[in-house]
Amino acid sequence: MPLILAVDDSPSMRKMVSFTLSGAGYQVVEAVDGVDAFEKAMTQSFDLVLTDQNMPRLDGLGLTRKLREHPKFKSTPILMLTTESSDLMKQAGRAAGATGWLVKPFDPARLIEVIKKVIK
Amino acid sequence: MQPDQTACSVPTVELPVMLVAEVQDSLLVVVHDLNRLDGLLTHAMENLMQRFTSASADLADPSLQAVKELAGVRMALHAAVTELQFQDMASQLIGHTSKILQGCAYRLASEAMGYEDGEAVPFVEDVPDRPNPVTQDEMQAGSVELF
Repeated sequence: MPLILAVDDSPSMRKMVSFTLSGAGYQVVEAVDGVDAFEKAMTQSFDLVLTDQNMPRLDGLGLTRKLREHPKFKSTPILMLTTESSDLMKQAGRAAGATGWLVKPFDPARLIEVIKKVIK
Repeated sequence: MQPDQTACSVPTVELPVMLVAEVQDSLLVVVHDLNRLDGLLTHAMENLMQRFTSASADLADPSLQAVKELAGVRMALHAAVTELQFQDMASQLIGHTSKILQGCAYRLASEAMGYEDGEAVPFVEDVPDRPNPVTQDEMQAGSVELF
């Protein structure tokens, strides 16, 4: 069962993401911000990271950069799930090493479709 | 309130201190109300999520899997996931707007009246210098882009 790290500072968003992913057969570990996510990422392996952008302490772009510096996460898919939709932010996401950019709110079926596509 | 361009090259407007104080008060009242609204939304969302989770768990009961009549209910719950993300977006909108209003209130006061020696200068969070991160006007699913 693929393991996904879901990162969002909003409890309701974490719940929606977990509900959607676990219903589709994925195992989910939740993190409340980039720092929490990075700590969890260092203690176990994940098949995919799904992260919000605007979070306290460490945002999604910062988390992506830190994870990409680590050999364990060189090729792990990292999807940004955020309200941010400007081209500038998307370019920054791409430069940081993100695999894709999803704008909130997400459609559960579409999210699962994208995850299936990027998890090898 | 005539524009005064003699003192310096930047045009300035003189305002009665009482007016500035009233505008600052009004801005701070709005910030306070926005925070209350955020609290109400958070509380409502917590309750909503509790009921949503409970209903989903009940429907996941193996003994109910064969009940065809419940398929529509399951589909409706899944479809509601998109709309149930409203609180995250509303909170971000409220937070961003509050910071701007609070920044305006304190800047207006400090520019117009300044602070007396020994008076504590209130801590004001940086006013966001970029547009609101929430651009959506409707609760429709957002775009997906793979790099």
